[in-house]
Amino acid sequence: MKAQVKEAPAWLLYSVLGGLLCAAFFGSISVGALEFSLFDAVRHPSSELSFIFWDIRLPRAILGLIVGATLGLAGAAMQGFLRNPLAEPGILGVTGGAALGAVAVFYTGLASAFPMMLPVGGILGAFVSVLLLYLFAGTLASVQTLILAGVAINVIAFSGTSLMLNLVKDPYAVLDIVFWQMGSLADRSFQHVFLILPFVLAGWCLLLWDRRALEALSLGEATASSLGISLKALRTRIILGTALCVGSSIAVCGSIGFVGLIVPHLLRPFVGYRPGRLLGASTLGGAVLLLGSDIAVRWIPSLVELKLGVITSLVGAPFFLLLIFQMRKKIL
Amino acid sequence: MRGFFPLGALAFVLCAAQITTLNAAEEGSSNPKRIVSVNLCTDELLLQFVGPERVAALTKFSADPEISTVAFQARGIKKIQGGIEDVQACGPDLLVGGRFSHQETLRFFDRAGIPVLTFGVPKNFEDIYEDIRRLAAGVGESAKGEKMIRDMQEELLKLRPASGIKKRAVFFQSDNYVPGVGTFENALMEAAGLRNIAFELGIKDYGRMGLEELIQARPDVIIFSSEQTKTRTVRGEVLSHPAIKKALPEVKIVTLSTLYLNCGSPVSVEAVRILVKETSP
Repeated sequence: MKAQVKEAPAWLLYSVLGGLLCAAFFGSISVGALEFSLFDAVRHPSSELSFIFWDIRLPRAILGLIVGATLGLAGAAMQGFLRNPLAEPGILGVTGGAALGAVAVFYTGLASAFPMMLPVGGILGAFVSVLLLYLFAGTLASVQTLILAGVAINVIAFSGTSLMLNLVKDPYAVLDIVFWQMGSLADRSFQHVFLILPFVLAGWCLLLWDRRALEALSLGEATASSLGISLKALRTRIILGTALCVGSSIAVCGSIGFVGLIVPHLLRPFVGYRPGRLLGASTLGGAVLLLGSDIAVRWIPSLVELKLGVITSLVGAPFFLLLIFQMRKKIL
Repeated sequence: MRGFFPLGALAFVLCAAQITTLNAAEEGSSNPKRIVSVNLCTDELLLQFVGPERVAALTKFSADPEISTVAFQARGIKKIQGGIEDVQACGPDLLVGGRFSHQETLRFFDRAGIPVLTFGVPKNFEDIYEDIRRLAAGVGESAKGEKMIRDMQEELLKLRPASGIKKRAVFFQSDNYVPGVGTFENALMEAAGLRNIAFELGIKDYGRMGLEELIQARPDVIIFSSEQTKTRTVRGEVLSHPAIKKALPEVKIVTLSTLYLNCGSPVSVEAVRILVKETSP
């Protein structure tokens, strides 16, 4: 039985994803605690509504786009590089490492003294996690080894964060950290956007560069090498790229998981199962998913606004289980 | 409810052993001399009534000037974590603590027949006066307690601003939580002559207020519990949000150290004093 490869034409795929992205972005700037017409807000500068629009809604939507795109892209890149459909920054502990790095930075007071240290802390945490992952599991690890390595890294990151929570004397400070960790885009400003933008763009470049290398790698390491792909350079780019964009994104919005698992998986059939083409599509798809979730967070009526990280986990964890269920025969 | 098996048995043994000492303590029960406190709030209140010679042990927190208002007075007194063994080693004749921490310790010594006083979280000044009365009576210093309450009431009366237009304030806490009706923060704001916006919005206990709602509510004052110098978090970041500066240029931001908010005691009057000082024109 030969698998039918029904590859959607590129222009169709990108225009559908682009259209969805525009709709999600517009939805994100329209939804909030107050209801007002965006037209009014733009027409009357320096009114209360215009501040709410320009300084609260817009940076939130832009940050959602950036972080969502990052998580989608990083998920696709890790899945392509590790040749493993369960690879994802959250499950493999990269998000946990980044969160630990960020918590360490604001726990020590570095974040208030030098705001730039916040993304740097996140990036360092993410970098150590990816490095550990690679040392534990390597490129050609079985699914089990990889997931176990991810569990171990997550546990290390979790105990580090717990240790800091344990040592905090002020009960209010414990609350702050716990809330922060649940992940949210609420009340962020353009300062956050500009703070992470250089790191995120650098990370994106390193990851998107690997389109052809990942395609070649899908034919096997030997074939890739014979095609002139340097596996060492590819590995360095993937590790650095993931750490840069995931680390800085998580540092400003807390732990948000599973976007990198869901998006590449949903889009894979439409790009003909080609890991290179999946990168671009997942970047757009990740942004659509995160902006959509951030709209849901504000829309779902609840006493307290739900946290973005909680929503993505609620959707993502059953999805993860489903994937494991489908793969069970292959794994065992 | 005996979900306490090994400790329950131990308590029974100790009970038997304590009968003699208990009788001895009975005579001077209103005048305990080896008081142990296992909660920072009771540490602070206790030292208002009794000298260090009557205190057998306080919590480790009491020595830390960042979170304790009695760090100076607590010098030289033994500090413990508050576990059962810790407390037992001090041979207490009165144990005081809060409702939420070290419950096992409190229950254990209650069963063992040692007098135990437990204090809840105050929701208003009446609750604080009640706590002061109970603790003062427990250590045999009721007169001091009544004097303290009178002093607090007089101070609060002096601080109460002359009636006029009340400033509208909101108390911003972790993750945009705001205290409403029935909270101690609300009582502090009322005592300082401020009108709580959360109260206007009908928030009971604690509710949440997004940045957009905050801007729409147009507060005159935003109160914010500051973080300590040594354990910083992301708290307060939201107050430096550019939207607040632009849409509420006139708003007065008052930071109140959590030192003044953790416990109900005469220190609570200080919190009101700070609010009045910072918000009066």
